[in-house]
Amino acid sequence: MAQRNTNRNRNKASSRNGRSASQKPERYRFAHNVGGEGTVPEQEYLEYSQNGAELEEPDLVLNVPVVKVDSIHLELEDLDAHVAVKAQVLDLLKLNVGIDLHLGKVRVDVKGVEAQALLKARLDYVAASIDRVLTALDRNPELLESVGSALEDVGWGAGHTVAESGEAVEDVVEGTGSALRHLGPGASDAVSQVGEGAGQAVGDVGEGAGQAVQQIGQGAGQAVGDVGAGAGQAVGDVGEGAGDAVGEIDQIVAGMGGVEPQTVAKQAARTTARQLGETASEGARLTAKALGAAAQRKARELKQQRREHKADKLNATEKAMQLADELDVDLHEVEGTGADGRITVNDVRQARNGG
Amino acid sequence: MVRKRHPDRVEAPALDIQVTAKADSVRFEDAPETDVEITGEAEDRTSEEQPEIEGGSASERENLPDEVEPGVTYRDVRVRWRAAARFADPDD
Repeated sequence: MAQRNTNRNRNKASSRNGRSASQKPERYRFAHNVGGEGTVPEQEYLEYSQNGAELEEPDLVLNVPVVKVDSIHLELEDLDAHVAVKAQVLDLLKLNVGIDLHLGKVRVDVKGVEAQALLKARLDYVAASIDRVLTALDRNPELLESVGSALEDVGWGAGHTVAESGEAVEDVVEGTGSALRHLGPGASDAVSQVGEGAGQAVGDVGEGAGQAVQQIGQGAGQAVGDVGAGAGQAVGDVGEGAGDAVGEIDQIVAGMGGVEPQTVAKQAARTTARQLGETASEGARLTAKALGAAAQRKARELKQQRREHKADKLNATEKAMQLADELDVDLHEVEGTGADGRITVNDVRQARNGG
Repeated sequence: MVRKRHPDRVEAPALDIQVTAKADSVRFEDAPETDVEITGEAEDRTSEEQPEIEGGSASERENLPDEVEPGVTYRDVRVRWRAAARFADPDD
């Protein structure tokens, strides 16, 4: 909130008997000591206060409940007041709304004045917008940073050649590739085939499109191709996602004949950024899932190896080992009756029964 | 770009200023020069749909014309003035 006053004002308050307003309690009805139904302005103030009661409560309320002046001569010249709500997150979100009031030249005599003022501010829209932007940043910090910069370039490039806009689009894709590289070592293995999927899909963009769009394909192929090496089950889906994104670009280009080329590039940039962003998130999720499953399999294998090693060492069968665990029988105390003295299930049962 | 809307029709305004006044008598020496404007900008680069701004100001008067005449004394004057503005989605 900001308020500035550049006026040259002069006012004179006077009363008939020489006392100030605050010295006349018998005449002035202040909000804190008014009984009954109150004055007309007070009632109107209450009505205003209750207006919109069904709406959410405001986050900020400033009020001047009752101002009363017996007689006033007021002169104002160039009074400017500005009240605003402003919010900004990097260059991603800018919200600014204000009420500007200007009084040029005012000379007025007023008698028997009663006035109230009330200012309310609601920040729910601002808070929701900031929360959404911060959530997006939290999930894809590098990606959003790149998108913001690249889209700015696209906007700047409006009116320039298609090739220049194409470079901006390429920046988006490169930014996406950079973000993918930062998904982590585990992710880089799993995302390995993104380059293949995206590269192949993006290669199709060149068909039926201009040279600038071909650069999108090259940019995507190059940027995503650097993601990593290896293979993973989850990555096939990522490649498909990138292919879908580029497929949409192809459709946009095909359906925008006669449209300004920078418009095509801008739309393509947005689509690429959004779809590749979704693809990156999906790839990370699938990667985590795949890594979790792989870890579980590895744990099971190690446990099995330890069990087999122990069985060999104790000269017991696998099922005898399991039963000994279940019945809490110490295999060192069991005498094996199997081939070469191997401990069998029957040996464990007999040992459990005291045999 | 601000969409003009009567302040009483601005739903859940982000900014809402309300003033009520009553006076036994009012006399202007000159015709007052006043201007109220809703200002601002709204840009969200993470969304394809850009927010807009809507709002306006209005007053209800009793015994006081919209354009006062200098030197005339107006009696038993009541004025309600309100200005409201909010951010709005394009389809609101």
